[in-house]
Amino acid sequence: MKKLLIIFLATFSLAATAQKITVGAKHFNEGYILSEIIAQLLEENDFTVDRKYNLGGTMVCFKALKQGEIDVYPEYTGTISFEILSSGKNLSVEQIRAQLQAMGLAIASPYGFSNTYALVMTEALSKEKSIHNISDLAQHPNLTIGLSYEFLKRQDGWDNLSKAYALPQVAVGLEHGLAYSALTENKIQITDAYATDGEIIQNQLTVLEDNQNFFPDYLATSFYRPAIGEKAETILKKLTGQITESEMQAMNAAVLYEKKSFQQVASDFLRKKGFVAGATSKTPTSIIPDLLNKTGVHLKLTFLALLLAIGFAVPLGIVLYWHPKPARYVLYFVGLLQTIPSIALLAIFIPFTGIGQSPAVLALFLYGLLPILRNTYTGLQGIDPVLKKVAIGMGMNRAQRMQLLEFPLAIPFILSGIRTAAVISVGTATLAAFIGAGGLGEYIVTGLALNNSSLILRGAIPAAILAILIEIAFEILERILRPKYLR
Amino acid sequence: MDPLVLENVYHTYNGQPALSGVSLRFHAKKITAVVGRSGSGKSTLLQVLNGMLRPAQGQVFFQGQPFDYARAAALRLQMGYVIQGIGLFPHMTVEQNILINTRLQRPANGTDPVARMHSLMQRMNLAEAYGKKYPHELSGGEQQRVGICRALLPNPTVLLMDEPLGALDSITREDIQREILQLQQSEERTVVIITHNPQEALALGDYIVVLEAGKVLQYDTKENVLKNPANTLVERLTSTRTV
Repeated sequence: MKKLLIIFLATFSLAATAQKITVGAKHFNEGYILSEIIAQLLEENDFTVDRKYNLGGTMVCFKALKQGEIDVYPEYTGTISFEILSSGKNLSVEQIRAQLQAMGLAIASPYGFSNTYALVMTEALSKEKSIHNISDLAQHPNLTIGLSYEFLKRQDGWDNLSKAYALPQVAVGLEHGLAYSALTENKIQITDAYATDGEIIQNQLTVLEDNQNFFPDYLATSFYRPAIGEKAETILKKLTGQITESEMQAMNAAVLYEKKSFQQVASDFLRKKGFVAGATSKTPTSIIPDLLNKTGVHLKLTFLALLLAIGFAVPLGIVLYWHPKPARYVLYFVGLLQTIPSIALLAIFIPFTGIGQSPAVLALFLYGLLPILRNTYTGLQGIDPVLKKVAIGMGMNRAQRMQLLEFPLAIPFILSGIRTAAVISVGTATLAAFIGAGGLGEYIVTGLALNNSSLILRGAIPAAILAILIEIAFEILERILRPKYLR
Repeated sequence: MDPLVLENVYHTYNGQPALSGVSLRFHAKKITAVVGRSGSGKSTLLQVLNGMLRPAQGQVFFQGQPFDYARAAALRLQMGYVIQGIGLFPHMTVEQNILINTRLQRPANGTDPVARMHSLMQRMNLAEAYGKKYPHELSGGEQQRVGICRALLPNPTVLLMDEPLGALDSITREDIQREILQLQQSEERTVVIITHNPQEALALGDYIVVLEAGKVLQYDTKENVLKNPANTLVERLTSTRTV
């Protein structure tokens, strides 16, 4: 009976509104393009699409999918075999499907190309040292190997690769988007790449032959929740066998070197394949409204976190002033929170709150606590003891002393703590884009993934301006609120 | 009934005995000046009187009742309190400072706090225009006059003063002494004033307590103390009058 009711309600709600599907993306070039192809294809077929891009690496995307934060994102069979199912070997599409079914997840049939991992170096150096396959690297222990963080940690990544080939080098980690410029500037000599990377041709790089067949196949396909329904599944299947390796390389290069937006590239692809009617592509969103929109989200995250931090830290500071014994320990603890790297703090909450704005606000809130708490506490402590003595002597109780004397005198200190917290918050909020919270950081994260410095600056400059504006706003606020006796 | 009584009070301060067996019955509606050197226990005595310090031994009576430390704040509302540091609240105007008591308790029936403030300011020679000023705009003497007005606003039965004029120049000090005496004539009140200055004790006190090393050396009317000093120490302490 209960089941019937649920089915009835589900059917009813499907009929009533256009079904909404949330599309996620791994934050690198190809991830964005494939996600956008899926998104536009769904939109063409009357679905409402919510885009949650910039989800970081595999595990963030997978957790988001598992928890229903997103409904679909493009993934690779090798990654699913090794990282998600931890099977230790490459599984076939059928094997993967069978294992995913138990989790309530599914994959569509592969798009057609394999984007396997590869090690690359510049053509010039390859010729000079005559390094042609991965085994040759063992003869050159002094080469610097800079790898993406994900590749460093993957089962089919550096650890097992270097064991399989008995490579002596120690690899360093760096952001994948920066690896190619590091290569051409000879800061590093070897990096990991994807076989479909547009950079390989552009930067005249050589792919080292995987002569021991270490790397598994990485067939790209749609990784989704069957709960999206049959109609949506059918649409995802349309992409089966439609994208070749060279087509993918060309699309990647179009974004990276022709500076087309990935929306544009996705739309061009869908029209070429006849999935979308009409000759003209959708006009890309213009910069200014998008910038304002992202600034709005950025400010919302910042101020929500700031308000929460004020609401928590100021009363806590008062309580600590009244009960100073635990104050040292509480301040130590809150100070400790401050030392957790922002990205780690942001990631810690994903299992509890999912992705998006809640973990971001929570993390920013924790960062804002220390300056406000410390300034509230020390501001109250620093009040002239003569004033406190006379207040007690004239018969004020504890609450009256706080309300009439101590709190008003501590306000300038508390305000400057809030100001510090606000500036920290505005800066750290750019990192919130890594967990899908949006804001100006989205430009920065996307720019890093695409190695597009103008996109990075489009996020970084407004974020810096916001920080300065907040400083100025607080200076004015402090001047207005500054008690008359201090003017 | 004597509003303030100490019975065999002992107290140590930083490990040093500050009061050793002090018994005092302060006379109602009179000014008692407690005089003694630094470290004689004067300040401890005053803080014991208003319950800020709880004696290690002995008892304090306020208006005939043993001091109830659970209600200390409420009891202090009935005692005016003036200290050397003055302690005007810097974020409040002179008027707000003087009227602070009205924010701590409801003014007694039939009283008009604002009218009382103006009357007190007038009697302490504070022009009405000072009301809108902030404490830092006032001289030290003016600040202490405000401090006294603030303490007297609710017309307390008891006024406790701890070296109120200690930091002022001698001319200002004498002016304020005169104003205190005039106020005492119009509103008789039990006043305890702590001072290290024998001249001030003799100028203000109807009664004199001579405190030395936490013990009462002599407690008598001003006249008797002058006529019959209990010993040479009291004589020395009070002899400055002729200087």
